[in-house]
Amino acid sequence: MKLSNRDWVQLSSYLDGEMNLRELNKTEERIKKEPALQLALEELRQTKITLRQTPKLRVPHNFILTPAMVGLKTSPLQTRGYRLVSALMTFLLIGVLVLDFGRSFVSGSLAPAASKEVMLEAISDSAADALEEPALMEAEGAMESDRSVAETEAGAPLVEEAPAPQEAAEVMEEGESLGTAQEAESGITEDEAPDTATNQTDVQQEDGVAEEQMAPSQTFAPEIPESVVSQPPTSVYAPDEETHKIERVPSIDPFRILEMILGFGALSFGIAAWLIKRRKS
Amino acid sequence: MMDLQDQIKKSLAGDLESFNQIILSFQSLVYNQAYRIIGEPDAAADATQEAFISAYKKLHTYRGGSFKSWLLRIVSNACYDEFRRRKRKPVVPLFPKGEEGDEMDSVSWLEDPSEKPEDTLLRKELSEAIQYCLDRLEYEFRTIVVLVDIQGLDYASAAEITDRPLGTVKSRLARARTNLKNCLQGFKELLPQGLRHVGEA
Repeated sequence: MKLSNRDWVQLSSYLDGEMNLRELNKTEERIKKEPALQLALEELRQTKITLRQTPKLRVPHNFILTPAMVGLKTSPLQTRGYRLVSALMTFLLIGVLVLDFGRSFVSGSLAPAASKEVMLEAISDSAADALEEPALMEAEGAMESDRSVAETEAGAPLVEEAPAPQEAAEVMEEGESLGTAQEAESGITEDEAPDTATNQTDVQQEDGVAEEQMAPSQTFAPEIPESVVSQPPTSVYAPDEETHKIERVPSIDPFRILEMILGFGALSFGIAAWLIKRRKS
Repeated sequence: MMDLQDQIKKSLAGDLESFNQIILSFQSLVYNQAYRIIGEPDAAADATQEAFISAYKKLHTYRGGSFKSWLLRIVSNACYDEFRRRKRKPVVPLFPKGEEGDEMDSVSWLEDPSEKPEDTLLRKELSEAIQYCLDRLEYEFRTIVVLVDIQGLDYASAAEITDRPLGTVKSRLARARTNLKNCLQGFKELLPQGLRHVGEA
């Protein structure tokens, strides 16, 4: 008995359990009744088992994808931007290096001599200041003491005790004349006369005679060197400050800073572009 | 380890490494499907690679459900494209050379070398016999029988993958099985014991 295509379809679906309950019952009844259907069902079952036992082949290689396979590209703006910045910084670095080299080349013969002169000047000034400093300190100390003396003399009776030489001479003359007259009157010996005259002078001074004869402008003024007095103490150390200014010249050349910034920037942007490209690929 | 749904989510976010993990999980299934449909190792490898590329690009069209079915549908389409391309431009397959320098005319170079020689031979011959019979089926019949009987999918999945009605799948599968049964009777000595004696009574 030859089976129709419909019979084969029903047997295939029955084998896989892909039938509704009504069709299933109907097909089961037919299989029980018809040996040809039983044989065909067994053949299909064995064929299915054989196909299910089909050996699995090993894959020849892994099929993992790369960005290039799926059309993933690195962000052109990002990578190109980094590369461009890196290139620009490299060119700038080269330019700065050339300028720096040219500058040092041009001033190569002059700069050392000039710097030596400056250094020598600075050294000599500082040495001179160092030598002058003790004398200046002494002068300043003397000036301070004289100044204090002058202040005390101007406002205190010490001025009376130390009259001017001219005034003292006048007083002495008056005293001598008085003393001569008194000596003549009282008969005092010449040896005693100076003491008497001195005493009389002291008396007259005590009476304020001498005071009246002294002009205010003739008060005692100590002799202070003009070079010391006229200059304030701070101005004394001006050369020293100049020396320090020379020493405080910055030691890092701006060219060096610029070179370091450009070099670091060029390197950083170059590495960043390379890393992005490597990660994307 | 991440599950499949997490890998799909990450792949959708552009993480190619996650999709490569999916590929490693499914590449054996996909390659065997492609090989059984096309019948040539190189073409199957090309179709498999194209299928994965296409799957990555169309991953946003995956709406849940069986990822295996979704992937096998893409593979079937890739195989069909490869099948048509090779039909227009027939190529002579080049197999790697064996130990004696002669070209190997089978896929035995893909098989497990740790297997016993007699088992390897049997497997190789059975595989070749099945492939021989599959190659004689029409393309659509072949696709359906591979999906159902080799990959173990149900009719609904096969219908979804091949984009054919359920009735069409049923009838084509029945015809394919009948043809395969008749073809395999020519390789009785390779068949399992039950199938050797079927029809002899």
